[in-house]
Amino acid sequence: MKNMQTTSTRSVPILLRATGCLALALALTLSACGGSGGGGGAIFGGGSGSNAGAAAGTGTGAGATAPTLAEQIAALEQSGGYPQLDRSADIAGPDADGNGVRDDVDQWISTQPLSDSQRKALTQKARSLQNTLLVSLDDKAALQSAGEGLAASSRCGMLQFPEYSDFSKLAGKIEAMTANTRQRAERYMQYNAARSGSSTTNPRGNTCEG
Amino acid sequence: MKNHVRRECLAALVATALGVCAMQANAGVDSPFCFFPAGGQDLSIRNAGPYIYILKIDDDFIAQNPTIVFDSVSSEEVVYPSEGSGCGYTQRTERQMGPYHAADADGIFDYLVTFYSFFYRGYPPSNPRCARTSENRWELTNEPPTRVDGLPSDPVLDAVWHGSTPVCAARLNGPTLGVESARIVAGKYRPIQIKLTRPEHGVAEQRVSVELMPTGPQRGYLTCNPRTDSQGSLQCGYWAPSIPTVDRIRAVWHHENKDRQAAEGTITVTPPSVVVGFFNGVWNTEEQAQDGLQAIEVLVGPNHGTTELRYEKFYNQTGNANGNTALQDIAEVFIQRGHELDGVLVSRWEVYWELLSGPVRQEGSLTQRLLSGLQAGGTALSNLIDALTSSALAGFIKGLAQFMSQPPTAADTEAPLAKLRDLADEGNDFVLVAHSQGNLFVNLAYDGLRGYNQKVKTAVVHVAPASPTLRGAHVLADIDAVINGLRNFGSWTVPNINIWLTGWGGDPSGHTFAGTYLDGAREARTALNAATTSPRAHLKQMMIDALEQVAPQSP
Repeated sequence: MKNMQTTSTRSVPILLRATGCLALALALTLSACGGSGGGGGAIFGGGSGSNAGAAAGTGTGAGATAPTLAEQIAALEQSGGYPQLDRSADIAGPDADGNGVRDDVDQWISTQPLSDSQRKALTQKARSLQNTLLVSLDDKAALQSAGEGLAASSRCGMLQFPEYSDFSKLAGKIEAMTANTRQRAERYMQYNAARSGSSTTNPRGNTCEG
Repeated sequence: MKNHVRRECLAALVATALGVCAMQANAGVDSPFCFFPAGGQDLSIRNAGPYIYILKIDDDFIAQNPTIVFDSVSSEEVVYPSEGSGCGYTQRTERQMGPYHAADADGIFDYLVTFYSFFYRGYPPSNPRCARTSENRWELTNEPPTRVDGLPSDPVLDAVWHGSTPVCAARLNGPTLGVESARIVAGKYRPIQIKLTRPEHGVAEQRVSVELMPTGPQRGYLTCNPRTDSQGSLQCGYWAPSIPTVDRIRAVWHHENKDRQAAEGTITVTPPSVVVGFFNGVWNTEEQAQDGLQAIEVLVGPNHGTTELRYEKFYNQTGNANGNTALQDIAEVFIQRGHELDGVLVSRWEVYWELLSGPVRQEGSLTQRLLSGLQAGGTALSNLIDALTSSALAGFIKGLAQFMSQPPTAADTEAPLAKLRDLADEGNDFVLVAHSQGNLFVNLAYDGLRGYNQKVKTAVVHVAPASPTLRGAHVLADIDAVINGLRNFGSWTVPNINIWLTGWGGDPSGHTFAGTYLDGAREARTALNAATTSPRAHLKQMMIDALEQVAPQSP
């Protein structure tokens, strides 16, 4: 696995640097690939693109009983090797305890080897991110408040983690997990577009909730 | 005698109304106030019956008080003359009439008012203990009251006939005086506006008196124009004392002795401070921009010597002219190619966000955990993710090139510039940090600030600048595939590479703010024979240099 990672991380930048026209070529390829999906979501095209290559991807060469890629991922999620996330069409998703964080994200946070105060800081970050999916895009005050919530939770993370970069990496994962379906991603993009042009002051003092 | 008593009752009623008005004149916006039309100019009498009058108020006043409502507070006072002892007594009954709304177009108030002007007490004058001078605010325009048979003449009718009539009115939503509370750095000057507004616009040419009420040992100095300008603003200037304190401002609007309204605000004088503003990079989410600003705060700290630092995020996307088309292109590619390999990615948008923000190949990322847990087919998925990474990078470059060909406009920077102006008015100086596309915004912000107030000190730190021009020091890494990729995209020029890094780290683009330019683990050099540093240490030194420019701490 490590070898694969090394190969992958080096390959793209080297290609981009080595050949002057490759960026252009990639961009042209991107143009050719994108935007032809037809109708669909408000932000994206149809999303009914070609499945070409699927067969090649699933081929395992291990015989008829070898699990498919999807089955492997499902098993990985079951084993805790990968977070088991809610992938329903509902933007909010399940929040049985009503703490403003999706239950699956709550569950993931609870498994992190952290102190209570650090978990609370992550939960605050998750809540502030979940709020960006639910806030009214027509309500400027609420949008600003959502942005301030992001700022407050980042400061809380800074206060609770000896290395801010450790918090930052975990917060990045929570962001990715929060907007983990097409519907949620689309809504998240709409939120960010609505926030363009905004300014927010980093708060001072202890911004940790509860 | 009966008539006299009646007249005295009339007099008492108006006097009561006057008393009520006098008490209420100091109250706030929704409180009744006194209205004293003068000399028949403001008040014309259409029907001079004993108690019924139709009043016409001058048009200017109505124009400034479109929703004025008149009340009449009336009271009846029956006077019982003294018998023997020489002292009589008074019995008073008050009643409210109205309110009457100014509903018609001509400023005519069909106004049933029962009013009286004088009241006298004290009978008879031979007993000095009981003698009282009447309270008389009536504005007679001809002969003064004369005494007949020891009682006053009929000043009521005289006065009414000449049209000088006090009435009480309640203003519901006329002009509102507002003093906004403000912040100012110690020792600095800032303009302050006091607004006199109606719901839609200001009220011009009104006299407003302003008083500064210090609360600390040192006070600031405030000067104001005597009258509101054409926008209804009273322009003031405030020089802050040299130490932090709080001053209170009290403003009073006097409207031709008819209306009076007061408002208060505070001026908080703060220690010297510099605003560290961050303009985010290409297609950052707000959370990623916030993360960048927080990382800068961690890097630099809460103070620069004795100067407080205030951190401000200026979040931007790609400008109105560009929409999010390039970002949508990347999403489209993700959707299309996500259908490959049994569509395992198409429902896993967390991978998309990691592609976009950079850590897709970082140890411990969600994507890496997914790949590391797979056996058969893992290589194919890894290759697909590599392809998507390449597409995202190409999309960044293409989008940035497009953005540079249609750079942000004044409209795109209107909101952040307004905020910067407010912060400049508070007396702050600035260090503006921009990453990637944020450099196009920061240039406009810097120019706008300079145009607004040349006394404001501003330094700019350009990180991975996607802009052909600069306003301050810059840093561009040799491995930055996005900015260096722009060199191959049309004729755009970008600044020179001035830091060389060892290895790629976890950021395949070599471009992200945290993954590359704040990386403290990698060695870097700023010249061939220069001492080794790290991108993080180098950026920190750039920040300190910029802070020294605007708030020097060194002797």
